[in-house]
Amino acid sequence: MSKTVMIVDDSTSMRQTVKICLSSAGYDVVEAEDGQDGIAKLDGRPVHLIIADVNMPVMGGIDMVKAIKQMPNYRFTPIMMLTTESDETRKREGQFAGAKAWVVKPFKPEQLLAAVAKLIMP
Amino acid sequence: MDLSKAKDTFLQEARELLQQFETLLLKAESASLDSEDLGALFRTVHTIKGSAGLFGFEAIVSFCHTVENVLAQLRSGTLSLTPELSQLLLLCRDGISRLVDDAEVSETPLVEVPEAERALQDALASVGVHEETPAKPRSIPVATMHADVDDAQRWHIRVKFGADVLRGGVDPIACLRYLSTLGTISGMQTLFPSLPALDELDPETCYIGFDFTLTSSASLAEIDGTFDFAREGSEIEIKSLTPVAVPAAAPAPDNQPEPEARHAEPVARKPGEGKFLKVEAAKLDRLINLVGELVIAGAAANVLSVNRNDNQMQEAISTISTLIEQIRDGALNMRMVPVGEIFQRFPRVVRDVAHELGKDIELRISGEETELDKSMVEKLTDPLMHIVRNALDHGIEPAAERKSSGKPTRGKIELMAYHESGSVVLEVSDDGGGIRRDKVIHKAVERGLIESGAGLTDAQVYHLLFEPGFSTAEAVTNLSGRGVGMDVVKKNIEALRGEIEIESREGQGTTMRLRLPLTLAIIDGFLVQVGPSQFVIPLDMVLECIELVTQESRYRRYIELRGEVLPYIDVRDIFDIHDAALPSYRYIVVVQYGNKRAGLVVDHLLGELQVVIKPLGKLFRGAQGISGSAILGSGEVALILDVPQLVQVACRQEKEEIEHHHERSHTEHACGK
Amino acid sequence: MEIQIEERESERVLALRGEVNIYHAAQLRDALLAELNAQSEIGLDLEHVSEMDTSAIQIVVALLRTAADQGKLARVVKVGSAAANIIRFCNLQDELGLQLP
Repeated sequence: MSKTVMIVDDSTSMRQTVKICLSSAGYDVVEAEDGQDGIAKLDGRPVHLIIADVNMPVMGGIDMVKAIKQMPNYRFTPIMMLTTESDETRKREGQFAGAKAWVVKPFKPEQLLAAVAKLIMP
Repeated sequence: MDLSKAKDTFLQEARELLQQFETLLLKAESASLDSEDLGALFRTVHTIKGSAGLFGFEAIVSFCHTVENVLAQLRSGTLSLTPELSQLLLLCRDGISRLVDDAEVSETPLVEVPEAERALQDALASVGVHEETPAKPRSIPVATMHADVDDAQRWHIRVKFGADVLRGGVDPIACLRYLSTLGTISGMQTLFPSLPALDELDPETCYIGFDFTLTSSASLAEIDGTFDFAREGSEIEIKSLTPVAVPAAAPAPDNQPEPEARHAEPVARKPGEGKFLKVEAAKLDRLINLVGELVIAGAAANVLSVNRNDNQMQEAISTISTLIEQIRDGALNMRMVPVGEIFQRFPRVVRDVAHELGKDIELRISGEETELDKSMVEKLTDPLMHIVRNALDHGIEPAAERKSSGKPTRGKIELMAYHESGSVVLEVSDDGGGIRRDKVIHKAVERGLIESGAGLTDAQVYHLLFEPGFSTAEAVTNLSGRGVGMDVVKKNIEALRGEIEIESREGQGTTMRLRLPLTLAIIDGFLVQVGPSQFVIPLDMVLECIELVTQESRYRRYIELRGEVLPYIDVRDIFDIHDAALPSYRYIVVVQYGNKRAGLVVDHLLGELQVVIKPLGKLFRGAQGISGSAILGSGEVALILDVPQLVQVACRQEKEEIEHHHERSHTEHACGK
Repeated sequence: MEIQIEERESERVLALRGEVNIYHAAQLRDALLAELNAQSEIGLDLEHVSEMDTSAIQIVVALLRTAADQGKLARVVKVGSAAANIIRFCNLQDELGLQLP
């Protein structure tokens, strides 16, 4: 059974690329465009990894992590933040909130795949 | 992995974001940006940078990085937005835009920032506070699987995972499985050095550790990177078993210096950031084509049902027709985009051009929400741009001249859009000097376009501006005197079945009005018959139908309709349909285009229907009085009457007649004296 | 995850089914602990486990070790491919008293 990854990002091209990249490696991908949308789309479905941008309208990545860590069915789901080098503080905030994995933007598709593979195999 | 589709999305998204970037910066020129705006400004470039990296557009990444750095400082308040910086950022926006254009067409993406952009980048880098990170994107070690066994090394690895690793969602075994893809694991020992008895075991605490040998050609940084997400509280020991000089381990990212804390910016959804689904334009076109066919097929079914006199069938078909109509409207509506998409480019153009000309000009925009066909939007941008530049350059007078004629020194240009009787109207007005009739005539005579200006109406004089090669500017300026003239604008607009009107008052300003059809594909038509032929009149131009009482004289071509003169023309005359027998009753279809009305005389009224417009073949393109053809439900072809042209013809005839009459009475009057 | 207590011919077996991971760790530990406290012999059937993670492995190891400390017998009676994979990867066959091909 293939693993499901949720990508939460307000950039359509980022979501699309992540989706193409992960699908080609055998993951199922669910897209959401901000934190609120992400939480709404969890909706009981099995999600094995959540990849989330930090900087998003409506609900940013860190608030989303905090919310997910309160959800009994998802509190142990690994969350990977898309951060930037200049956002070291946000990364720490994210880690503190419970997102233990991260990828520094800008990244190449293979870098993302490697990072995802460290958490879940397809 | 095929990223080409995503690349298109990226290009489109990047352009939208650059537009937002520009809008925000222009806003900053009149009002100061709040923290939300600054956050949004930052996010635009930040998002472009993030996505560009995925496609390997290194030049964009590098350039955006520099811009982002300055925007981050603006956001945190360590830097303030001066007019100079704003100007520089706008230039940088153009730079990014050029790089995006390049990314679209180039086979191999730029790695280095080109010289022109490099210069901007340097200028910007000197503005910002010293960057703490190099502009070069940091590369995360990637597992490169060398098949070459020769450079494989052996490593002894011992790991004791931190107690909280599981709670963070990281599974140590998954981590090691990833490591096993980098090489070969041997001598695995799984250790539970401090595993408590079952009754004391905390099920969510991690107790596991591993001890093994890895044979891999991956670098130490790559191997070490495996544990990136599980470092907290973990003990990791990696020792080389191969007696070769080993490069020092990369420092863990956690040891990096911490930049100063930034407060989180509020994240509220901006109006306009609605939920949209991006659909490929070609898909929509296919859908609309099919809907067009459906309309035709529906009409055919309708004709059949009427002929058979089957009431139930007619009822059923009428329901289907209503639905088809709704589907058609819905499908066409999908193509409609707010005209704001064009308008939003203008603040920048006006600002830059005004700067260049040394004029102080204010731009007002209204009716941005007015919708029109997407394919038209693309074709309207250039003509509109030309008209606006023309207004800036030739319309608005220099400040000194304005002052001496008692006007405010600040010139005004207004862009307006609205719907009017089945058309979309776009207006560009300026409060400049207006078009000087004498100057236009002088030039036209000089160019041999006319012999003299005598007897020409203002409208006729203004239309000389659209003659090829006409330019009124005394000095050819850098902006609008470059060969492409108003004649091209007119051609472009006419290609869209639109037309241009000019209104001008000397000393007070000029308005250029573009009138365009709402859509290009399907129209509601009114079917009429003349002799054996059927014609379609676009329904939104039809005002009413009246009976033609008697054709009193072949020369009098107007009737009085509720106290107003209504000129008319006989469709039989236009198309020379004279052999068919005249019916006892004929009708006048009253049509309106712009502010003019006219009547079209036809034999029979056949009623409303939807028609799919098929463009005329090359042979008929120059035909008078026809704007296109349509396929009817019966499979027959009907010509679509070119109402704008016919209205013009009718009005001209009427005028000539009146003038003729006037002259006649004038002579009579003179004779009588 | 589902836990079923099955009375088979000569033994009493706890059969686990489905995904057994961190979300089920607390439930698994409690079930095994209750069984350990009530019985002197425990059989664990992992044949129909579709997925196991670190948390599951360490609970199974803790069960076997704790039982041995108490002089009881706990053993894994059957494994399916998912369980076998992870046990082989961690090289825990000996620890769990299993012989896997």
